[in-house]
Amino acid sequence: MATGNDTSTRVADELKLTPPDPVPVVAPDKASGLVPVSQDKRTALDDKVDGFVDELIALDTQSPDFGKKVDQITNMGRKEIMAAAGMSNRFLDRPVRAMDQESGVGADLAQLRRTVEDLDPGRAGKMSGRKLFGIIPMGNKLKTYFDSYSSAQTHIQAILARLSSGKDELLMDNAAIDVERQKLWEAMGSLEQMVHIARTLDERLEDKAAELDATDPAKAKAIRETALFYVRQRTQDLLTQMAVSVQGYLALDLVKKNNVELVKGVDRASTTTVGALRTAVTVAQAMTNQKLVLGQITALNTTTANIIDSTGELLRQNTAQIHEQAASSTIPLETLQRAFQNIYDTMDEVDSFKLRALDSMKQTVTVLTSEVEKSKGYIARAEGQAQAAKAGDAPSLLSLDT
Amino acid sequence: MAEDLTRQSDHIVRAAGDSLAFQRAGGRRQARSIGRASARMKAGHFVRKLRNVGLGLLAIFVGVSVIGSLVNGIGALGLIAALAVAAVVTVMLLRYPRLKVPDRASLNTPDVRQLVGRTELWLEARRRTLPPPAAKLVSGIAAQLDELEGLLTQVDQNHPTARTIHKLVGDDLPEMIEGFQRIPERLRYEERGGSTPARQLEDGLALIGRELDSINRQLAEGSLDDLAIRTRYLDYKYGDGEHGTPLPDLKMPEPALTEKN
Repeated sequence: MATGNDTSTRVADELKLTPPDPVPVVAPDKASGLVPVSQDKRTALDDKVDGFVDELIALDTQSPDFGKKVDQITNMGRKEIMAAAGMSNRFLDRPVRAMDQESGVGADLAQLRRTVEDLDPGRAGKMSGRKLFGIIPMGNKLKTYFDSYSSAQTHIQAILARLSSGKDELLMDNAAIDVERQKLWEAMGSLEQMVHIARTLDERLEDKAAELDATDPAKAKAIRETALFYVRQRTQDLLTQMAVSVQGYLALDLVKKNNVELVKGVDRASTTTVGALRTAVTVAQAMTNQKLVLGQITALNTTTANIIDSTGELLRQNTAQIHEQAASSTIPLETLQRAFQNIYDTMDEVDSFKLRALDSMKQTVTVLTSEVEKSKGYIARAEGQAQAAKAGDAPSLLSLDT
Repeated sequence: MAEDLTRQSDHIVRAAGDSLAFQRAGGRRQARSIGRASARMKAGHFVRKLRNVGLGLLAIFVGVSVIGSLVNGIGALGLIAALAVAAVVTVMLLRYPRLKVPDRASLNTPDVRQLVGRTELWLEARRRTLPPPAAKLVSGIAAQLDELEGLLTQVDQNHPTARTIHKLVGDDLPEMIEGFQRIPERLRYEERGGSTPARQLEDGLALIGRELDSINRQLAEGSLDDLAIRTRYLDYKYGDGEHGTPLPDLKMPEPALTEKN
């Protein structure tokens, strides 16, 4: 237990909120390979591709069946792309909402700050001095000052309750992000498998075409110009969508980390406020022998301590220290002043964190917006092809078994 | 004559097979409803008929009482006559009005319960005229419609998905079956363009079944997610936040990924 005046009311460790780094642009050619596909699956997919290629090669290039097979290629991975794209439309929602300053925790913190400032002993001016004008007894003035706590406590309690429900919202948000990321991870797994199919198909077709060059150049040409062409186009689509999904996955993580930091900030703001109020109770007792009854503080403290598990212990320790300190100290008002300083420090840190995080967030949103736009273009094209060739609706050789 | 029969032998064998399958599935005695919604519609209809019977009997009772008080007692013969009338009325009212199979145009209503109920009734009426594989698919679709009904009632009816469903269930599905039934029996199994109408019908129904399945999944997804989110949230708040499946993280080599463009 520290006994020094200057550290006793300090919350043991400095609150340091670190904004997450902005999400980088993910180039399509770097997007694949991030989500693992098991070797078993790879082998199964390769078999599928081999079967498809054999069937395709066996067909007469002039026959309608050949056309049908090629249509299957143009439709390859359509479902997977659509599924991932459906999610990526929602990616932007969260970071944008997280940037909204006017609502939620930010607004409540600002209000808490205003209320706390009214109680700040530093603001009360003359009272803070130990020296008195002989005429007005010091106790009375201090008494009025401490009385203002009683009137403020319901207000403070209301704000703290709102902060705690704001924190719940942040946690809920993070839970939703977790679920979304999980689904996105699955979608990326499917995309990855389709990319694998597309690449293997590309290789195999290329080989076959090279083989056919000697025996059946016309067929080799047809395979290069239709099948292979579409395979490459499709690979590009898949990779583009993959890149957007990867970026979205990272962006969701960014919002989540941001929320985690904010939760820390809210926790600390609540703890420091309750700490200051408790200090005030003790200081009032020591200085004016006034029994400052902040009845709700006790209740508040238990609830807050319950909510803030990690800092609850800290708060309890601190309170014991404060008590000891304020009772024995020659300058109890300074202790109170420091308690207020703690609140301000916390809030300043939260404010500056939000500014720094906003930067990251903006950058991420800008990058993501342009990538999502890009992928939308691809999807529109892919959809156009899908409309032209409805054949792909039936399960084909080139689809994943899910 | 004999020549004709040989040419139709395919048809005869198939018809025999169909008949066998139909009889095995319960044949004409089969009274079971195709789905919950159609059973509900039928039950509702039956309740209405019971109500009619009750009203009819009440009317007869009142009429007989009035006549009896006017002519000073209707006598034994009158009583018998009244009972006979009551019996006839009961039988008639239990029989009619018959539950009308809704016509195609009335299937697509904005009311989900009506939509599903009518479509099921309609399917039920058509099912026995379809080839057995298709009939089986239709039964599967009916089961999916039951599932869909519960999910769809919770959704805004103007949502694009809801409209897709209305079109699929109220238009596409009946149109498909009706289109098949417009084809003369003899031509239904004739190979045309690499496929027969019967096979096309099966393919189409299978597609609709798959689509309904994916729609059902999609509609249920919201509720599934809500539950998952709630669990995760509780874990964050009261647990140690580490339960459930740990989220995979992308292991990315930083420099390889960042490419400013």
